[in-house]
Amino acid sequence: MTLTEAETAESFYLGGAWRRSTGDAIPVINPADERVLASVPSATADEVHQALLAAKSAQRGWARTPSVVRGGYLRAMADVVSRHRDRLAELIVSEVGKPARQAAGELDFAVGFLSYNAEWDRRLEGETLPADVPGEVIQLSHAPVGVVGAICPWNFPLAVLCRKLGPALITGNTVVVKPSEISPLSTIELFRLFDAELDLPPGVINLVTGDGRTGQAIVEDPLTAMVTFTGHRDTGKAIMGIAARNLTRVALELGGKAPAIIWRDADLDVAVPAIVAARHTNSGQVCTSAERVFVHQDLYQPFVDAYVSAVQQLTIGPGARDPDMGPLASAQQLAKTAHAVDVAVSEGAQVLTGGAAPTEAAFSQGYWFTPTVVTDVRPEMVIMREETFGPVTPVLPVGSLEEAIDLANDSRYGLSAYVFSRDYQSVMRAAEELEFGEIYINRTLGESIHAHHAGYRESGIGGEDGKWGLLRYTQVKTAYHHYG
Amino acid sequence: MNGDGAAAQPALTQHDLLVGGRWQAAAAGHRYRVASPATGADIADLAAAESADVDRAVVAGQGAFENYASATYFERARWCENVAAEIDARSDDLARELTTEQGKPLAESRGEVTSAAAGFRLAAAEARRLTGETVPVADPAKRVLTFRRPTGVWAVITPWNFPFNIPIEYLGPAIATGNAVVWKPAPSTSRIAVRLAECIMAAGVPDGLVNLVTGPSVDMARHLSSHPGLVGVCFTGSSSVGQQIAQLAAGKKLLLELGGNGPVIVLKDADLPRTVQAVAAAAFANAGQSCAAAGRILAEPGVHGGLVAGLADAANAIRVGPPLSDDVDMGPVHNEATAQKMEQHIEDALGRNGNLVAGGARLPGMPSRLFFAPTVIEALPGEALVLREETFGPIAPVLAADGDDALLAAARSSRLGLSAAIFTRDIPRALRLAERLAVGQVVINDTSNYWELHMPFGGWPGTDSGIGRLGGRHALEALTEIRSIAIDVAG
Repeated sequence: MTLTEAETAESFYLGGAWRRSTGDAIPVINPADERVLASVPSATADEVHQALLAAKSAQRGWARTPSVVRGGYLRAMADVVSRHRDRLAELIVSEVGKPARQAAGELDFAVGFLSYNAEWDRRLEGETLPADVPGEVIQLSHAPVGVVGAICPWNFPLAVLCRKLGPALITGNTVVVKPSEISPLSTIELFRLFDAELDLPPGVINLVTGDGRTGQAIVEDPLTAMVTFTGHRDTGKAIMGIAARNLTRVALELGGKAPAIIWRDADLDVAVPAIVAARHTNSGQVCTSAERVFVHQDLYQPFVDAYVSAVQQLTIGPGARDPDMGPLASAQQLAKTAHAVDVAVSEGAQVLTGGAAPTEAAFSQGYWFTPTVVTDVRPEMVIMREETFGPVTPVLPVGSLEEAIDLANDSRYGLSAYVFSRDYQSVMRAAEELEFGEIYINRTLGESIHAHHAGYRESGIGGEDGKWGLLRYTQVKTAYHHYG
Repeated sequence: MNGDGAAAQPALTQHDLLVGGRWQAAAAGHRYRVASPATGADIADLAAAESADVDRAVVAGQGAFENYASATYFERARWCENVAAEIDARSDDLARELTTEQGKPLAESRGEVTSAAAGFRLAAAEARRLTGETVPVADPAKRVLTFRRPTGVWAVITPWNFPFNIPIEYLGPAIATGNAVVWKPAPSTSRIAVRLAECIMAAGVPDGLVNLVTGPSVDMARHLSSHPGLVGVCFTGSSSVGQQIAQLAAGKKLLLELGGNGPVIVLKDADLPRTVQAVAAAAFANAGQSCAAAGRILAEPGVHGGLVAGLADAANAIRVGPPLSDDVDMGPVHNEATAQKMEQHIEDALGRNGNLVAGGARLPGMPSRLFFAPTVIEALPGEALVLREETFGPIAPVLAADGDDALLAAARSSRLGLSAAIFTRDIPRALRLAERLAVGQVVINDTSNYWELHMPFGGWPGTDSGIGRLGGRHALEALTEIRSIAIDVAG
């Protein structure tokens, strides 16, 4: 599944029209077989500026449009995604490699982000405050920020896109989107569907494709009022550095190194499948993936035995056949994962299962890696400190809850954490003292659209989803009405 | 009566009604006396209001409401903070008078007075945060703002079990939001009500915003509840009186905090020493005269025997005596009706083959006949009165029930649904049970009496435990109403 050359040549959408970009073409590769799916141009800084201008000129009119009308557009967008779910899912499978059911699930998530945020159309309430002087009303309202640059990742290309479009548009902002150069096809197709099937005012949503140079142009341009970015920590830091020149607002949703604490009284029938899923969904390429497992020493051996056995039963194959796990998304991800295991072994870790690419002929092309469990790890090893973003689980025994919490918190990252225990003193203590933005208790990954997704430390700034994520796309404005 | 003769009697204090900021006698000149349950001796002589006094108080409230309707919430908040300061300045005297009049131990009275001052400060803080909204609308020419506005004059009718703190749950929010009040405290704890009204006047709360009518007249209370000049009635007290008030006040706003009867559920894996301590506290604090007391204790068989034995030990260890003494845990029950209801419920339980494990009767040799032994009773059939009605005395009735279904069936057999407690180490099981209990609040692994000023508190709809929520901003929201203003800005 791919797009035609004609469809990808005009990948630059601004002011409601498709244009041909003059930038370099970047190949898009199917990670299951390394075939080139298409070539997509990298928009130049001048083209980015044109897209931002289109967004800027549309913004005031969009903000003036009643939120109920904006909500109607979002519902129509959700409907477009729903109706073309199969085709969009196939594109995601071909460019990202994830199993078909996970791609379909991603689109359900995308629909949810659009329809949930649409529901704020009658609920985006400001406040009236009691005044401290007679004859006065203090009115607080949530004004749009302006033009939002949305820079999206390759692991959930459409879910994350809609996670940003939904709140940005309902609050009256206009948007310039840049998908990852690894997975731009599904986004181009979605914009083509929006263009063909909806009558969104020109300039409300705009698309530029390209790599980091295109992204940098969005961040550097003073027309950009806010950059919302999901992706790698180092890219996030670079964005913040550039944004500082204009004091452009940033919302950064970066990586994680999620700890999973399996406490002494945990139910292994719950914990093992939960962590298998939390480590191998999307080949481990999820910011909330379980990246470090701390097991109470009394439960360590039973856990390791059950976990290795479960991991060995996972099926691997092309996403279209809907295995448990597909390939990694890119040659770079494969190299990074293999390197992480090599470094761990050189530091003294034991590989209990996996540890390399599968050797069967069917996997000779593509970015494959076998689910891997490593033990004899120490907290200072690279495998316990840097985000792997691949199907590798390091497991470490711990003696006390205090130790587990301390080890978990001793990280550059702070996005999500997992706790498995039946004892609520332990559960609540861990939930309160783990310095992570979202805690999963006795369950696997998967955040709720109406909750909040945000990290401590180098996992990001800001946060997405729900009411609090929505409000980040707004500027609180105070008006003092004196009538006394 | 204490039988020591007139020489030991302190002089009676004399008190009037507060109407429109002026202390005055009842129009008909009637008076009544209040006795201390700790000694049986009369302590105060008060004006006994009639319906005509209620009418004057309502008119005074209406005038004050109109005069101060445009005061800012910030100004009203300062009045509340001034009341808190007046209470703090008199806290020792207030606690002693509260104990003398109500009968609870001095330590409990001190806590109640401290809590009352905090309640006024909380009302002030909540008033400054009583926000409205700007509403996004479909019409591009409209701008819609909402505000919380005070509503008018309210009746506030309060009980004798926490006679200093419960009124504050209404008076603080009422003053803070600009409503006026006609307050009728329980006749038997009206002197401490006069003291609170004195604090309110000394704090500079404008005349007429708080009016106090004391007295035992039922006609007066009915007249107040149904008065056409009122916008609403706040009442804390028994379910039967609450239902009468709801009928008399038909069409008015209502905030009713009525009776409760547990349940306290003890599951087989509960931490027994901790559970015994918490259940005993729930059953015997304030001599059991609390709407969130441990009215019915349902224990799984594995823990039933240990719980009963532990509660019997705890009951026998409670030091009952004159409540002004420092070394006393429990004073008398507040009145003869409560003591008689204890006797009636115990007699009924024993008649149904219930097993009396501790207490069971009035204590001899005490300064009045109202000192009752902390009582534990077990092996009760479901139809026992003590399980069906709120006893409102120092009694811990325990019955066995095995498994979630039996526990929930027993829990639901009561018409009341205020506060429950669950004791277990299995929090997921407790959370599943808590979802299915028809009560306003569930405490897990602590006394059903656990409560803080700003926690929402009230009965479950469909039970006889009340309407609405007290606590924190909830009472302020109940006493105010939303006014929406839509402005057309086209052309």
